[in-house]
Amino acid sequence: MFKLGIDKILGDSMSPNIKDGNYVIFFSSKRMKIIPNKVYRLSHPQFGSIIKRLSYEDADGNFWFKGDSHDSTSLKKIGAIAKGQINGRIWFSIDSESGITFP
Amino acid sequence: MLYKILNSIDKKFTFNVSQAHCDIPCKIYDPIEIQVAVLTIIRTTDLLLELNDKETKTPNDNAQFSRLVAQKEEHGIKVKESVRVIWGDYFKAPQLEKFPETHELVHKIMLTTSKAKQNIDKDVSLELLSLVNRFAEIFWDTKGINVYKAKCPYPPALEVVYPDLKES
Repeated sequence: MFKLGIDKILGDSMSPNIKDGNYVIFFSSKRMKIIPNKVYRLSHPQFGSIIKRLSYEDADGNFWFKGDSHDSTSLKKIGAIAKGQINGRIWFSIDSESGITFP
Repeated sequence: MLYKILNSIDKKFTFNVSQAHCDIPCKIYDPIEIQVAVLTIIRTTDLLLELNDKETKTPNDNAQFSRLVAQKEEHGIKVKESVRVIWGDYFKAPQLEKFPETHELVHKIMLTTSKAKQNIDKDVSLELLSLVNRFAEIFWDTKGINVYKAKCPYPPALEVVYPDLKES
């Protein structure tokens, strides 16, 4: 089933592409492709609902994410993410000044 | 325009929030908050023991007893939280190599704090102070700052390790 949603972003780890206070439109579907360099919405056991950019998929089928900012929580700290924890792909972001941007 | 519309909808209905976490190393670490929390545990333990010695207790005494227990509990949580932050975020390989006892010391602090929370035991809370004083000594040494011991200028007036910041 195709699903569309809106989230408000808190934090600057995806800055400058997605800034603190931006709104993001995300979508998900059963056939959603998980592609490196795209930004996804994850359900993390420690951090809750987070958005991060996919870095790579390892040999065991786990996904490794990181933020765009140098200050972002590190890839290692986020840890391996299973496919089932990825619940959306960020389509575009809405900023108060620059309007719509595609991260 | 679109942002403004979403913002006003958000104010009315509140969208879900997704975090974009940062790990900015703020570098502000100081074990004094741990030491003060332990001194508070000792002080509340003293006051609880004093109350316990009263033969007849008024409703106010009972209320005071509850408040003191709550304070002791709260400061025990503070000790654990603050020690965890310094140990987990500040201590890295060079500090741990210099002071290999750190892991064991931190574990002892955790266990002794639990004991101090569970009991009204002056000896346990004093043992906890000596452990966090050692933790402070190690912390300041890793920063190349000398320490000295002095009695804190308020109850329970016990010896605390302070950094000698004038020298550095």
